[in-house]
Amino acid sequence: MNDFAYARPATAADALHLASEPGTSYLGGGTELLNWLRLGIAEPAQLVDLSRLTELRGVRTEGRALWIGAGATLAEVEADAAVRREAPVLAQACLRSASPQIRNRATLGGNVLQKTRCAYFRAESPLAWPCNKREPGSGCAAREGSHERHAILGWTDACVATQPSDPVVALACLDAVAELQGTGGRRSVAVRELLLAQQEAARLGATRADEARLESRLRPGELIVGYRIPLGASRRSAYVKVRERESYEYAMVSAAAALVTVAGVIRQARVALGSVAQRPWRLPQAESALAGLRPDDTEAVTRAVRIALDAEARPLPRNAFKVALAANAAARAVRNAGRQA
Amino acid sequence: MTIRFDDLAQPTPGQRSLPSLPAVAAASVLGADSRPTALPPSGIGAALPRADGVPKVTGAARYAGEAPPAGVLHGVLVPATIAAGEVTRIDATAALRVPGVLRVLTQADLPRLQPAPSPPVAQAFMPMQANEVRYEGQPVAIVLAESLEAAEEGVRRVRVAYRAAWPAMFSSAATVRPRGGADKNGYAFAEVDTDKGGTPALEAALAAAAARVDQAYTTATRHHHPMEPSATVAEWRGDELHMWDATQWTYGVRYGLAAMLPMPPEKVHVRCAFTGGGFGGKGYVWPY
Repeated sequence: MNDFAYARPATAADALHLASEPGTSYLGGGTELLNWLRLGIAEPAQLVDLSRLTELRGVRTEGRALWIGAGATLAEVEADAAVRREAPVLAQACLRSASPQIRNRATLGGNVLQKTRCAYFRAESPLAWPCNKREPGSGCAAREGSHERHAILGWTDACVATQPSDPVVALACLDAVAELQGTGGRRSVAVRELLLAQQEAARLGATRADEARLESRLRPGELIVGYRIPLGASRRSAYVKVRERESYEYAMVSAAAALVTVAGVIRQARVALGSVAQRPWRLPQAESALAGLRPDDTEAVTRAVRIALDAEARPLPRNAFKVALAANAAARAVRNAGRQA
Repeated sequence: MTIRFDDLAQPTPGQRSLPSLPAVAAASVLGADSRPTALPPSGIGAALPRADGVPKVTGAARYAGEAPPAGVLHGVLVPATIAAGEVTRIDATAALRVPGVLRVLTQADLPRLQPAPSPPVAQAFMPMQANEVRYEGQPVAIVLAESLEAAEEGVRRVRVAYRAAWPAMFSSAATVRPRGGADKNGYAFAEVDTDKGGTPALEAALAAAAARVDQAYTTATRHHHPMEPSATVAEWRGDELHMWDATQWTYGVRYGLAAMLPMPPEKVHVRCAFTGGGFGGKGYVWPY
């Protein structure tokens, strides 16, 4: 890795001021960023360590919402009594992430901004294959290569990667809002819209390279301060993570479900899929179709989700199995959510 | 000539004394009358501490790359990113600007080696003797620096231009004549062991099955993957070469190098006190 300057400001204002310097990266727990430095994925001239910022800490109830600071670690979020009671899907998603050591350091801010696990992308330079994220314009090796773990939604020929965060799927399901702060002031963005799939990046990006390299709506120097989760409708929620190993492994697919039920029948459902695209994927058509069903009527639930998914899924030649896997995972999440007290 | 057991019990100079055979028989598992008795005091069945157990578990064991002499330079290899073809240009200017990087060696800087005897050397083709590239990952340059980190950073910044050629490609399903006859050793060039057709009972069972899966599965080729990466330290003391190498065959390294450099084998000293896994991958001498 190349040499970099390191600053550890005490306030968000100081952090934002330092970040106005081009080539600056924020440092949360460092569990992702240090990998990028070692592989040559990122070469910041300056790291701004956020660990002193009190504005980013804490998990607390504020009126009808749960506030979680971007600096809260996955371990803190998972262990919090209010999170476990009011939004169990988020506690479950955090608990199924990574390993205990990593959860003790990784922050909810950084976790949401992690990058794809695509093996072509994660290689040490020099790369022996094309990757539009690493070398703009070189191509996408996964498009015609090994893409069993890649996207079934939102991809373009320039990039077919998925983003593997578990907590972001739960936050999208919970209709969480990310509060951002930049030098221009504060703004809010729904978590379900914070990250970008490649199709969206192509529309929003300023250059052709952005199609593969623009991954979120964050502006340069902008900081995630925390997340606000509306309370009251998420006690019946659950997270399902389908993976080859039971721990310390990324998802093949994942699903988050949150239900409002009356007399055991779904009145309102929110379903989000993970690791099927470069962002969490809500299924509004499925959510409508689930109203009136019982959460443990797995056959009907799976059918409703599958119909909705088939309408928009665009599997690659070798990952069509992810469509069935995702629908089944969503149905399991709905069933588990229904059983949540 | 008859050998009396009492003769064997006399220790020759420098040897441990041997117990007398009658005494061993008396202490052995099956006694003279075939009834089991106590185990002998040493040998099979005794709980002996593994000689390298404590140093390896406590981290006291020093592996090849771990304790280089003072003033050592670190060399990291620049790997070819094409599978076949040739190097046309190597631009080291950016690499040489990394603090700590001292030199970038190319094939023009290396001595011409004698043909490598194989075994003990793993492959007859030696990288960096010409511009030819024969496999992806083949070393095409070496970055020398004062620290490992600087050398690794230097490798990232070396710009190599290639003229790529088509590599040889074959699929596992292709019928390829096995080398040297039909040796069914499981390697890629051997005939795949398959059974065709079935018994009537098998056909009937398949027809009646609730579900049938007909699919082709591929798995990557196996790969030695020891925890200890390959590392070599080389030090010249006068005209004698001293090496510490991650190897399963120190004599192989000695004689292989002596043949290639060339130099008298008595002046090549190779040490490997501990190997952090090899599984055969460190059994031959590799060009790194």
